[in-house]
Amino acid sequence: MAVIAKTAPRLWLILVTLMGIVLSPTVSNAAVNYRVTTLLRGLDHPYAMVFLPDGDILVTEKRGTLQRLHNDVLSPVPVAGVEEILASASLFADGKYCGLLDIALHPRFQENQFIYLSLTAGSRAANAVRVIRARYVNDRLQEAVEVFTAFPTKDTANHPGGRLAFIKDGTLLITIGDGFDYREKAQDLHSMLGKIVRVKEDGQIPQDNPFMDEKGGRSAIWSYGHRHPQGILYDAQADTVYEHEHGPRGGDELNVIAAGKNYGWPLETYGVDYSGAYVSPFNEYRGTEQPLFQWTPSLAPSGITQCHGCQWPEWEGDLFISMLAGKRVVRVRVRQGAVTEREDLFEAVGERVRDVRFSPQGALYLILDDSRGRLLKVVPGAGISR
Amino acid sequence: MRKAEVVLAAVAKGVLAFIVVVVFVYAMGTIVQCLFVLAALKSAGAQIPLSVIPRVVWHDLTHQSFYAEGVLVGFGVALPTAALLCRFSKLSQSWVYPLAGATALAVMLHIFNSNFYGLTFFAGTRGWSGFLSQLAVGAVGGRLFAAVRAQWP
Repeated sequence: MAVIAKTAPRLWLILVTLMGIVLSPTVSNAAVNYRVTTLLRGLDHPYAMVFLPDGDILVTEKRGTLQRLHNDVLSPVPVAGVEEILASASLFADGKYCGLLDIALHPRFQENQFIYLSLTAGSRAANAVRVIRARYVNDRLQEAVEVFTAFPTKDTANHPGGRLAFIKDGTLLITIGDGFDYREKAQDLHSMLGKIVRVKEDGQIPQDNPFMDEKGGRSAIWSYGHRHPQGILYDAQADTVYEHEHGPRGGDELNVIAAGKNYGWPLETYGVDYSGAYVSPFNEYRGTEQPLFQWTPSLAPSGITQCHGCQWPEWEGDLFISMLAGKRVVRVRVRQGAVTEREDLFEAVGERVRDVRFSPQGALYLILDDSRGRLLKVVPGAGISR
Repeated sequence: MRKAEVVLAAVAKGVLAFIVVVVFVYAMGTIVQCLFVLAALKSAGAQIPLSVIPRVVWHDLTHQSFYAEGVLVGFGVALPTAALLCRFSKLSQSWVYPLAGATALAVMLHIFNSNFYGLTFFAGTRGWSGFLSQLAVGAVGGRLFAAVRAQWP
């Protein structure tokens, strides 16, 4: 009895500590310098987020809503006007792959309040990536105009693409997937499937696009040979465009994108079909670009951001790529055109990570892909040295 | 005792014929798929030297376990069903077995696609020509089954 009386308090303490670890929304990692906290639960398949200059966050949900967080707290109602705008833009949301996708601020957002949204428009039988621009005033979207719609339409819901990035000259890059069943179209300059296109802020085609001489709207094409590009980032300091895309089974790619280049799909790939058969017998093919890095087996990259003045000085300039199947974020260091370092982060979260962005204050935010998706905030762990 | 031997011999003959046919359909179906994929790749601009094709075919023959399982299960259901139909009806083996083989592959491909987000799981069957060629392979497999059973002593 004396032994029990002596050890009981300690056992109780251990039990309470274990329960605290299990129930806590915070995942800490003592080996690295970060602490992950859940800010929000219950987002319906969130897809992308963007930080407003005042630090507020806008989060897209695929079904067609735009949520706003002020001081990391969700507004009681979604951004107004979005439902009407998306309805008039013929939003097609299938609850899985299609719907409201990416969001980007105009480079001069503080002057013009322009927000760009990408979505899948049409129907299951005929859908395409569409980009609209609207003015964001007093927590409402208004004055929406269509900026771009890809063609041809496709009858598959998969591989829409739809990521957005403004580059140095103020033009907008838009990623378009191959539609899965139409992979050969990625090599066809008559089709926008499997391409990255470049348009002006109002949707006009820049005169210096690489295929400007081509007829029939192909003049919008900036690069081709892409499979399912789900991340694009413009590094203003290095004047470099990074893009990542899903491979089939294996062969996820991180690419540096240049105008007019062919990124190879499906002529060459490091992956194979889901059935196990070859997509192509070639890992390299003349006239096509090799990836900066490729992941085999696949981790399914879904979003990308970069540390510029973030809260981890040791990560300055590094890329952060969210992974769906990989359920993590991968930090990638690129120096002199080569990947020199990689590190898996936040694996303890254990869920599909849909997007990753740095806040203006340098904290890292993740959104998790689920019908009850979460928004996570990552900051340096107090007192934990790296 | 003699009757049991006869039954056992019939079963053994059926099992052997089944194995031969499953191997044949897997190999032929894989090769046909492979050729459709390579043709599509060529249409996208790839130059594929003839020397590469055997390597591609061998790779696909040794890596399509899902297809092998599908053929095994599909024919495992279709051929005994066809045998029963022929035994208890006056239907002709010459078309019941080919129909069973084609149906087996059609159902198998449909099940794979249905469980794959409605997309085409086997890339060589994306177009109608690729799909119908698989049905043709299944039909030939069914006909072969009937022929092998009839020929073997």
